[in-house]
Amino acid sequence: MNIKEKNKSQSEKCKTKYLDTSNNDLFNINAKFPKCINIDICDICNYDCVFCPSSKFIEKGGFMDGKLVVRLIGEAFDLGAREICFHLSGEPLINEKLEDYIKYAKEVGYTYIFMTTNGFLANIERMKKIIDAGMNSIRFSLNSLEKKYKTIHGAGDFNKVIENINDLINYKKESNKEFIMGVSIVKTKYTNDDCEILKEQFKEQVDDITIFEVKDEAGQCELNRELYLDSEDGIGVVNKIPCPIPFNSAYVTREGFLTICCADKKNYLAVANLNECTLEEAWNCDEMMSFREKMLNGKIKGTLCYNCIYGKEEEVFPIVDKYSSNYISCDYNKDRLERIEQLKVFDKIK
Amino acid sequence: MEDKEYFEKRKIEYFDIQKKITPDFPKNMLLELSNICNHSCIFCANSKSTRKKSYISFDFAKRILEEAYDLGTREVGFYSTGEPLVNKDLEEYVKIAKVIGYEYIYITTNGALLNEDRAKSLIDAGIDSIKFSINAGTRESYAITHGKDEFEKVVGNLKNLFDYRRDNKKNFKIFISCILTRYTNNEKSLILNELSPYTDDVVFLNCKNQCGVMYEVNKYLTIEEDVKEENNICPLPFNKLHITCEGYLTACCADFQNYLIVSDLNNETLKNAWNGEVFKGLRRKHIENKLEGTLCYNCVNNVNSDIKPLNDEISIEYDAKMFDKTEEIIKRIKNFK
Repeated sequence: MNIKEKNKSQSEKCKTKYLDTSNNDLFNINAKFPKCINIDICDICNYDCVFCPSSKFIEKGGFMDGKLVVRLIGEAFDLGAREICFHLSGEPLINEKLEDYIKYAKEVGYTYIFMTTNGFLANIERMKKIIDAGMNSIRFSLNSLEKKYKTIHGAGDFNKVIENINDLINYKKESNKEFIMGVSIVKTKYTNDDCEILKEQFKEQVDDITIFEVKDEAGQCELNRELYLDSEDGIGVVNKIPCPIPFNSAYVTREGFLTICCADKKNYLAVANLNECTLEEAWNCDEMMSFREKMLNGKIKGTLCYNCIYGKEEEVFPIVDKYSSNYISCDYNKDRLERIEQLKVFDKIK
Repeated sequence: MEDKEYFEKRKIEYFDIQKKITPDFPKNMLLELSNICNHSCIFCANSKSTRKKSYISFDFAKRILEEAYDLGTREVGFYSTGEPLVNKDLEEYVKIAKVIGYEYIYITTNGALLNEDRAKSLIDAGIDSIKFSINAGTRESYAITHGKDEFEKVVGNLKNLFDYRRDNKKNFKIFISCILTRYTNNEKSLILNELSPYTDDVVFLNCKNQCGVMYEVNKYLTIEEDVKEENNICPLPFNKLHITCEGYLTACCADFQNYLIVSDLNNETLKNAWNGEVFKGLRRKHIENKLEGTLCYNCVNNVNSDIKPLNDEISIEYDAKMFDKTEEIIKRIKNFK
C-alpha cells in the first residue's frame, strides 16, 4: 500500500468510526473507554456557517483551562485512548496553545491527532508549527466557491483559504512530511455544483475528500431543512437503534462536561462535570450508564438522540438540568432566513 | 549562577517552564556527598530522617560527574540534605569536576567546619561559590535555630574567608542564605548590616514545609503573613539532577526519606534514568496536576496527607505521626526571648 492509499484508509476509518459496530463487546452499558477523544479547547469560531448550530446556542464562548486540558489528555490516555482531536464546537486554530497540546499529547503517547479547520487562520507558518508539534491529519472545511463563500460561511475569505490550502499542499510535497490532508464539504441544495467543482479541483491534491449532506443537527436547526437536497430525508447519519456513539465516543465540551454526542450544542447530553470528577468516573457515572441502558432498549424519547435518529423536531430534555444551556440567539433564525434568500438569488442570477 | 539573579531567574522559570515529559538533560546537578549534618536546624528534617547516614562512593561520584558532563551538565553543587564539609573528600570532588570541565562548582554549608585550612584547600581545588547557610542574626537565636552554639565560629570563618579572598585576589563568590522563622524575622537587618559586607549577596527565604517533609513548621515556625502561593509549580523534576549519597536519582533536593527515587544509578545510566518510565510518570503527574499520593503533593499543597514512595524497595517508609519534630521544636522555641 503506498502512502496515499494508507492515508486514505486511515481517513476513511476515522470518518466511519462512529458507525463501527464490529466490536462484539461494544453495546454494553459498561462499555470500555473509547480509542478516541475530542476535547474542545475553545468554543469560539471566527466563522458562522449557515448550517452550523454553534452560534445559535453558544453565547460567548471561551477557552478551556489549560490545566484541565493536560489533565484530560493524560486521563484519557491512561484509559486507553490513542487518538485525539482538540475541537468540538469551535475553530481550533483560535486557541494559540493548540501546538502545545498537540506536543504534549504526542509525548504522552497518542498515535493519531487530527483536526478540521475552516482554514482562515491556517497560514503556512502556523501550519508548520502544528505539523512539527505532531499533527497527523488536517482537514479543511470548505463548503462553497468564492461567490457564495461569505453567505455560506458567514465570514472569511475564499481566496485566502485556498491560498492556505495550496501552501500546505506544496509544503507537504516539498517537505516529505507524513501527514494526511483532506477537504470536507457540507453539501446543500444551493451548493451542489460548488461541491462538484471543489471535488474535481482537489481530488488529486489531497488524500481524502469527504462530503457530508446537510442535516438539521439533531433537530436543533430546523431552518436547515431549507437547505436540504431533494434526496434528503432528514434522518441523522446514525439512523438506527442502538446508536453506537454513547458506547464508542467521548466528547468534552469547552466548559469541561463529558457529553455523549458531538451534535449536542446545548449540553443536553452532558452527563458529568470533569472539573469535579475524573474522566473514568464520568465515563462510568450513573447518568451515563442509565443513558446507555435506555439506548440499548430503544427508550430514547424525550432526548436529543430521538430527534436525530428519527429525523424529528420534538421537544427534548437535558439528561442533567444543571449542565444544560438555555441560551438561544434571537438573531439566529432571522440571519439564516436572510442568507437562504441570498442563496436563492445567487441561483437565479446563474 | 548561584546569586540573587539566579533566584530571580529561577522564580520566573517556575512559571514558564517548558513542560515536557522528557525534557532536555539538565545543566545543573546536586550531588550529595553525604547526608550527615553537624547541625540540626529547627526547621530541617535532617535530624529526624531515618535514612542511613553515609558518604557517597568515590568511584560512583566520579562516574556520575563524567556521565552528567557528557550529557550536558555544566554546574554542580556538592550537597543536598547533608553538610558537604563533613566529607573529607570534598576538595577531591571539586578538583575532579574542574578537570572534567564544569563551569560552576558550588556548595551550601553551615560554615562551622570551614576553618582557614579547609577554606584554602577548597579554593585551591577550584570552587566557584561558597554559600553560608546562616539562619539567625545573634548568637542566642542561632544556637536555638541551628542546635549548635557556633554563631561566632561561623561568622569568624566567613570573615576570614572574605579577607583571604581580598588579600589573595581570588575570584570565587561568597553568599549567605538565611531561612527566617517567626522568631528570627526581626533579625534580617542585623544580618544585612553585620554580615552582608562580607558577602556578594544575601538571600532571605521564609521557612516552609521543606518539600513536604516538615509540615509541623506551619504551626510553630512559619511567618504568619506568609501566604501560601496558589498553583505552585515545581521545576525540579524538569530541569535539575539530584543524586543521593546512596547513588539514587531523586526528583527533589530535600528527599529525606528517598520517597522520590526514580532510579538506582548503581544499576542504570544517568541518561536512561532521566528518560525512564518512573521519572516520566512523575513528570506527567506534575504537568497534569495529579500528584495525590506522592511527596510532591504534600509539598506543593502544604499538607500532610498519606503518601507513598515512588519506589518502595528503596525508600525508607515513614509513619506521618512518628516522622514529626514537634516536640523538639516546642522545646527549643521556649528559649527564644
